[in-house]
Amino acid sequence: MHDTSPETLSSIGIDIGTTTTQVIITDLELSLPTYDGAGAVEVVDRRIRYRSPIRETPFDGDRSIDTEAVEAFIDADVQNAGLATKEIDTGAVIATGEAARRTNAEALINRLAERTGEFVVATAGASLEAVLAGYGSGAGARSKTDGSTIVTVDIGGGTTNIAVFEDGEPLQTRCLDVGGRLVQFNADGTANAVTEPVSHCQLPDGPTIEIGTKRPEAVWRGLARRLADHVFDAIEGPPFDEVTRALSVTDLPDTAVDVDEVVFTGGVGRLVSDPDIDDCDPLKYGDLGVRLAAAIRTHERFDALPVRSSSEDIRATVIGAGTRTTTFTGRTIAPATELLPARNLPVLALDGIATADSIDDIRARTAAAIRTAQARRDVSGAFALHISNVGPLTYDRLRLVARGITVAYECRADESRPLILLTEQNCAKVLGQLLESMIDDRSVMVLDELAVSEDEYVDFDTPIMEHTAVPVTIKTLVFDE
Amino acid sequence: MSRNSDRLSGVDRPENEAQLERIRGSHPSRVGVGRTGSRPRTETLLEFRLDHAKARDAVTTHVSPKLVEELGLVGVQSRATSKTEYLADPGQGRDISDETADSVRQQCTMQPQVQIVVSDGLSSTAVEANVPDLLPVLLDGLADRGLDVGTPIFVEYGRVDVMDAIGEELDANCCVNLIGERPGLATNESLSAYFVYGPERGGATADKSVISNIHRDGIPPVEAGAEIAAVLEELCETKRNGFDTESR
Amino acid sequence: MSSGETAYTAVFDGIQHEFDSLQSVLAKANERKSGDKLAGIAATSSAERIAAKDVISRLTLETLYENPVVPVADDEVTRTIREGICEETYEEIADWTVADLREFLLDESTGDEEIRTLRGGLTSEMIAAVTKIMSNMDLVVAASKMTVVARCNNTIGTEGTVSFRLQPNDPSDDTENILHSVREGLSYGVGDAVIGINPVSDDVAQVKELLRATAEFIDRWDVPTQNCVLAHITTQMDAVRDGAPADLLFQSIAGTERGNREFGIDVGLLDDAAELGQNRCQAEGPNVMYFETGQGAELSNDAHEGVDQLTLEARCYGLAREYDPFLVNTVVGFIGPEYLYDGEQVIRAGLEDVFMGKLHGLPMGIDACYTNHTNADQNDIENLAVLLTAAGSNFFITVPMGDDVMLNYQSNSFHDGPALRTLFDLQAAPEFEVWLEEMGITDDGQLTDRAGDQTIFTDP
Repeated sequence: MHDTSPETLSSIGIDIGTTTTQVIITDLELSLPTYDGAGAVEVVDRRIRYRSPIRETPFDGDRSIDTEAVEAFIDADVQNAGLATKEIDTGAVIATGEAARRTNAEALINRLAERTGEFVVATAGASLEAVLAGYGSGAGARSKTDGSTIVTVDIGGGTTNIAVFEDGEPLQTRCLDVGGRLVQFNADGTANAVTEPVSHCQLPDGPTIEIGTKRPEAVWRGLARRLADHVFDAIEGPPFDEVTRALSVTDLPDTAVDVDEVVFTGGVGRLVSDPDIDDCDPLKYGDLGVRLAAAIRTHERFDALPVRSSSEDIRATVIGAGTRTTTFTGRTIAPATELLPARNLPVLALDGIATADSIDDIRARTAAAIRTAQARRDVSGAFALHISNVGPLTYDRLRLVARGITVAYECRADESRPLILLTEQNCAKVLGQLLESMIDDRSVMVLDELAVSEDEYVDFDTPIMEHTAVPVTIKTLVFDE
Repeated sequence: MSRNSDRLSGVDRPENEAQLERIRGSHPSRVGVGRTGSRPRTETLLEFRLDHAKARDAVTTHVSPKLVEELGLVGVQSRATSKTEYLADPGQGRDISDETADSVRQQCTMQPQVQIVVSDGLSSTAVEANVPDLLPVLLDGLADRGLDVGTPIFVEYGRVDVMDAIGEELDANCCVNLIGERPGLATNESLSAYFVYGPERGGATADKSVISNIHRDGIPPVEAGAEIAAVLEELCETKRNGFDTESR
Repeated sequence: MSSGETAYTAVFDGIQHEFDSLQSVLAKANERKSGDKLAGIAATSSAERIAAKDVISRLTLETLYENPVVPVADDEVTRTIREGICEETYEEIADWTVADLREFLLDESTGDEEIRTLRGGLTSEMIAAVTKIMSNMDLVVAASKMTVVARCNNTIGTEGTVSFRLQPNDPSDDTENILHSVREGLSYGVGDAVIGINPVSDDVAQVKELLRATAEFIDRWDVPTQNCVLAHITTQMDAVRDGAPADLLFQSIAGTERGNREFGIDVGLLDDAAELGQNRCQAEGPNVMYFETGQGAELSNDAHEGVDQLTLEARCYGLAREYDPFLVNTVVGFIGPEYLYDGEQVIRAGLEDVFMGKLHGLPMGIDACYTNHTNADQNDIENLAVLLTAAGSNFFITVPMGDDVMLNYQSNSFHDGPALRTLFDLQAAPEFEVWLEEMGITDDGQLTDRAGDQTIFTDP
């Protein structure tokens, strides 16, 4: 009665970064509890099947990523992993840092997502990257095991993504425009590329740093030192100083945390672990990375941090992307096959249902939620209504909720948009049964055990395991608009 | 030896209190309970005894006749005549007497597509806690699907296989038995739904499909009702004894 | 001599009680058990029960030797037991009655050594028969005379010790939860018999992972004990062949060939397992096997061959002793009220099983336990544990606060370990006792302030 039979999904992670492009392919082993079990489908084991070489991200001129070159990498990697493209079940493609700002980034990512597998989501957003890097480094899991608070600091070419994990859950993120590629150099040490964030760390009366300048080593070290100050400020804060705030690409948290452990990852982050980094050739990578790592390593605040090294330092983000983006709905659900797979569905929060006590109240709240969302955001296509709490799980209660939502949709008879409902409680099947019996001529899909919130977007795959669960990816941000 | 009521743990001055609290908060077993001498703390002991007492009461009490009536169930008894006999001789709980069979045939619709059976099994508490929410969802779900449902029956002292006898007597296409599971200390309210297509006396319990863990902290009864309706539809369509439990 | 129609008769108060076969008289001589009644072989009155005991007391050991309850030709368990008997020893006692055997065992001049000398001549049917005419205190007194020492990574069963299996089961086989339960148990001084996990999933990868995790923990903290994951024997064998670090190999066994088939095993498979254990288990040994039994298992699998559950239980021990196991325990109350109805029947069966196991020469322990549909509670198994510590049971099963959240039944608590040791002035297995002192869990055998606090096993 306690048997669980394993099912495995192949997951791909693709990280197109400011400096490097990496691919990993992972086997995710799923638990398939029978009805005897706790019920939820979970990823019980993540085995990395294939790690690509770490390659330079191919740029095509100043403004775009070389699409063909990236596609060639990925095709080779899938083949080297012993798989065919159609055997990839899930995963994520992310563009990070500078790469995300290139003009064709969004198109490229969506294209890769389309061609790489049935269900590979394109995703980006600094906060999500920070969390993925934290999971990929193993710190997320360790924080759960040890019950500790761990800060992961992923420093790449363009960005520094910091995530705080407490008991295995991401608590906060802090993301800065600080990375090795803020300045790039010719072989003779002349700056040949300088990005905008550098201006925040220019000394008002110091030498200007711009393309074509060649400055003494002390100037570059000084710049790296000032950037390092803000990395420490971001790790240790709040409060944060003004420049840190200016460098930040996301909202910074207001509450401080007691940290048990700090882990540095990413291309620059891994150099921090090298005790001899200060003696390394500063132009080894043709950018500011070595100096930035040295400035962090030799910083007087470094020794006060409880630093621990990670075995997956440079690949942290891509491993996180390949292993952590997929979750699952509950196992008693009402999926609609004609609506799956579905991508980038905006989530509309339907609040106050738990206390609404009449059909009309629920109808009004449903209509208002849709109206408000349409005024605020572009939800011209399909969307998903999310109810965090329907109230007590009794038949009378659910009938009331279903009736109220039905009436709200009947008032919109002019349009044929499907009714997609997401709940946190385990009640999709019964709500689906009720709504199907009440609503005419409209596709109905109810999925449950999903914690999402307004402003998020969700992707749903086709159901797995004889239609008993749907893989889901929840995204805080689809792409910077 | 005073006990700080803010703490979950019963251990005096643990080496790592935060760690112990964390373990205690998420661990399924009774760990971090502490001791007085070589014996458990009073609170821990009484908590344990209470959980066992509730489990025992689930086994030994009876489903109230009033509830059976309110749910519109036809109430019968298996061959067992008392809880003692029922517990000591499971075979008695798997069949009904000839007289009961006659009465069932008289009171219930013959040849239904779906016959619903409710049994106390090893937890009357599970029946009382779940069936009132579950049954209406199930009946509506079956009606929505156009399935022809027989007269629901309650069997006192019923085991899983008692539905074979009832289904055989009524010549039902398939049966579901909503039966109280053996209670654990974590919950005494857990209900299972067993399914059989083509019920026949002597069918093995192991060949029947099951959805278990139906209770407010497992599969909520309303949700289970909708799921059971879907499974019964599948059984009627595939005409197979059971569905693929491994995949569910 | 064959089981003739007139051979089994007792006359009490002018009333003649007749039994039509040896199987029947053995069944009716049992103390009241719901399982014998379920099988339709129990005595129909209390007087008939005593009449059957009277008949048994007058049987010779030769009668029992010549008439195994399942014929030699039909059953490999019978053959295995028969082949293990020392003919010479048997010849010396063949003409003893069962009453003679009882009185020999209880005689003050009979000690451990005398019983040891006799043991090789006793079949499982003889041991079952004498058990049926012994009272509860008889069983305790006789069992307490016998010491059976076994050695794996540590030594259990030596005079003046009692050991405990630490059973850290988890409903989702979660390694972290399991290790927290291990820490908890060790902090109470239990775990010297084995750290033994019943896995939810009988799957090689899962078994390997649990063996690895426990071996790593044992190694990290230098615990003088052994690990075991109680999956099906074939699963464990695959795991061990694949390099998993197991100290003991486990299997549930039955007292008939058919019963063992229901468990998916036979003597050939057990032989292979024992050989693999000798060659591939991590433990120092020489004892590397672990068996569990329990009255009623054969009947529940419809493999009882018309024989009563006590006699079949004895035959499990006859089979087990061929493999020189490190641990054997009866899981006495797990099977449910249709076999052992209530606390009284569970206690009686527990006393019988430990006595019979020790008389077979096994390092015998017990899982004193009950399910929630049995009319028993924690008091019953605490009573049983006290009685069986007095009887010199080698070990007991212990779980956190008596509540096994995976198997959904109750057994002895970690707390009962130190309680029983203190009550009877006993120590843990000698190597483990030293470790407990070094860890500061006990001081001069008494629990310290550190005891009961699992966070003493946190890595700095």
